[in-house]
Amino acid sequence: MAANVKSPSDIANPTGLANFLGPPKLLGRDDKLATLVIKVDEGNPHLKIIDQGVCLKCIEKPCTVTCPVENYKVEDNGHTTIYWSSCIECGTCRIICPFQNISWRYPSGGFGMTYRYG
Amino acid sequence: MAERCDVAIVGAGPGASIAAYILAKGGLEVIMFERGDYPGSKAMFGGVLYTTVLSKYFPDFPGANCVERHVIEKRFSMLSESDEVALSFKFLDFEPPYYNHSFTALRAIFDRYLAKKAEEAGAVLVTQTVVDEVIASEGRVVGVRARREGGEVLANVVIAADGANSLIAQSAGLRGELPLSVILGVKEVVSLPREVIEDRFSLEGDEGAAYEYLGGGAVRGAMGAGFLYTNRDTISVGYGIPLGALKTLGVQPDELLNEFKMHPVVRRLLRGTTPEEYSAHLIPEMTPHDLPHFVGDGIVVIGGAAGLVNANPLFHEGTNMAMASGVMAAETILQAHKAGNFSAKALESYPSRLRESFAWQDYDRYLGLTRMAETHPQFFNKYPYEFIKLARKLFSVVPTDDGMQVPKRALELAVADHVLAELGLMSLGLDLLDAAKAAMF
Repeated sequence: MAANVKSPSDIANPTGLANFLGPPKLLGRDDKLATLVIKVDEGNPHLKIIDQGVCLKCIEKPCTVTCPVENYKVEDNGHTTIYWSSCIECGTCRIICPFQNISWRYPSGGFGMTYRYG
Repeated sequence: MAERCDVAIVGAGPGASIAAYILAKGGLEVIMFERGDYPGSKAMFGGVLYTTVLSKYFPDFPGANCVERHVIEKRFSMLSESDEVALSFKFLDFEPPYYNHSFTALRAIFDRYLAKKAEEAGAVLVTQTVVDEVIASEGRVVGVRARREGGEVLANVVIAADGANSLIAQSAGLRGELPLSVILGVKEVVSLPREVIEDRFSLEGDEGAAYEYLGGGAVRGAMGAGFLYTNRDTISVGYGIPLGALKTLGVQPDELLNEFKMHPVVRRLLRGTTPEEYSAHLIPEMTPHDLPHFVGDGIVVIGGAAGLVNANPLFHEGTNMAMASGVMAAETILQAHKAGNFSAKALESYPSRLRESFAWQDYDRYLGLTRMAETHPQFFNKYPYEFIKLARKLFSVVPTDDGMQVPKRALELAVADHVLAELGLMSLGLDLLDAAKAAMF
């Protein structure tokens, strides 16, 4: 083989493309949340369950499977807890609750999450 | 003593800012309320901005670093769990600077650009301020109540531009609760060097691509669609699904996003990407019955707050409709200001102009198809899969035991057989007829 002919394995990767051929990085719920800037208004929840008795009777509990940050959890005693401090303010729970049992408002000005891309 | 202005705008998105710009240019005192740290800080959209209205008012926007890439390829594809059938449209000869008036964009960047234009024209932007409700007096809206000390601001007209959830339209009694047809958009912005994006998607310079994944394996056969849009050095990847369908599916939206990203077809396009930001937002898709009234005494509703979106996956428009409604609302208010009358009747030319415009016509045009999709889940959970199966049967290269190959004629017959046996010509025919009817009327 002539000295100036390169074999495929000798060809350098000029753009560093090889660094970008691995599988896409996936994030779980917590790490997804960690990509967001959230300023928590400590002690001032903007979301509240109006009546836990209503949640106890709710069979579907659609809030627990539709919140995009999984902020709704059913505790052992059957009560529903809202992890409001990691809310991203989309409004899904307000609409999905079959009994309109969520008191929903926006966090106060300057609080809540901030998108850098959006 | 409450503060006073001519027009109070709740929200600082594209519709709000273009309205504020026109009103301020017209000499009115305008206050625009943004609940986040800056305009766009609470906003998210899929990613393509249509710039017809924008370019008329701000012809220099392409050079202002407020958009990402101009779209030269629109690609529609159907997915099964492992396969894809796609149709791609490439438009390479649209002329700069606006090309086909379709630019990928990021709201936290774009909304700030447009709000700045409104401020330069004299509008006052108040950030970090939530407006919870309108102030009403004798049945008419006379101002807004911001959640802060001395937060009452009186105005001749209030513009509800507070997006999909519009608590303002609701507090003014202009609409009821939102229906389950509202779509949840879930997205990640993932990073990749721009050279790699351009290489991977066959783009030159600032060209961009918009990929839509309809039905089938995109969101587990549910009524919904995935998308992938190229930005400069990031990609917007996500999906939209009506809340009703999401509830039925019973899967966590963040897991569904990861599933879409790891679809064998999508995964290959996202190699080497790192998530930079997760987001979720509502898209106010609803029937005319659920829409708010566009005007009341002393108030107008624009953009997403007014439910102005064309959620048809062929088009996916909304921010352009918001800007169009902002323009028409502002021009109506300027006239009302001259006449000194801000009653619903005096503001009536806003909804009547709106209904004449593309914003309403496009919304109205695709309602039938959307309703048809709701009652015909087979367009999402059956036909895409079947169609891909047929293509797979036809294009499979099948060896025979004697070392030869199955002739094409036999493959064609297998396809015909499948259509007759599995698909049911009768029901397929009826469904296609329904679709055609829905598309035409």
